Amino acid sequence: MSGPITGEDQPRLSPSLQTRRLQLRMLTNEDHAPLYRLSSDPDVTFQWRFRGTTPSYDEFLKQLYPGVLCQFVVSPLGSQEVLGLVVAYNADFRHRFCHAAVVMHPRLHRRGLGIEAFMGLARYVYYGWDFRMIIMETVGIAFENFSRGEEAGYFTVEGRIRDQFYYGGRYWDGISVTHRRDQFEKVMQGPVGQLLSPGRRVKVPPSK
Amino acid sequence: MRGEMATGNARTDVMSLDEFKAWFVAEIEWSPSEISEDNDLVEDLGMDSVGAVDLMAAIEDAGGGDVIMPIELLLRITTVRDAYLQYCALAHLPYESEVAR
Repeated sequence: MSGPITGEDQPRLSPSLQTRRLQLRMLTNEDHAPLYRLSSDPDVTFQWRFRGTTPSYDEFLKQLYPGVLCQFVVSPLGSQEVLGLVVAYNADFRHRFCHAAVVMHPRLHRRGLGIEAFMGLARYVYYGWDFRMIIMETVGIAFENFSRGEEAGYFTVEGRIRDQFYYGGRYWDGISVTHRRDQFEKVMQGPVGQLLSPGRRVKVPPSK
Repeated sequence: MRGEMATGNARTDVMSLDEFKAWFVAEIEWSPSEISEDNDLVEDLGMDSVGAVDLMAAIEDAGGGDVIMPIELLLRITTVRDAYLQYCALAHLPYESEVAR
């Protein structure tokens, strides 16, 4: 019979908010404007909260916190630059799951940094709550960026609504995926584990 | 042929470009059996975010394991040649004085 995993049993679980390249940090007032700009970026908005609509700044702020269990700005280690946002929301404590979402600046897409940020959030969530799974709702156009993760064991596709969303002249599937606690433990043994491991930083000269 | 690194910060032997391409095909699961240094990782080789994680981890391992591929270098990688150049940069750049955490 399995019980809750303790920190002693599972050293990979940690409340740390640092990953190999990133820090997940508390939102401050100074982050609101960069996040507002990010949410309205043409390469982000249709896949993120406002789905292409343009809420006022005040409306954006009103919608930033309701339903949120925990959320963090994603920044590079040693910098306050806003690279994205990770959110755990709509927690169900009776059935022990929550939802999560990740948004990253478009210049970082397909670089693996969204996965690194998500895994940092998952580690924090699984450390702090006895959740069985984290659920993510995504859109086919975004799912293409990480679809191979199912084969790699990162998550399981649980449901698909065909042709749910319209973007760019066609309809895309709506996709529900789960990232379960045991999948977290398992992928930590591979390259994903390296994303949460400490390491030695090199000094990069500024670009010319 | 492996070349010794020129700086005093040598962490490992550095592969030549041809060695790197052979290593890439052997180590990167999603790589096709033949690649060119001009191949775009996303457009030509189909790299997605999961593939990028594999590549980052493999390059870090090739560089000695404990060294972190910084975001600045990561963002310079578009082609196989870029990946090689940043692998070389990672092997040559001096360490910061402290471990990241």
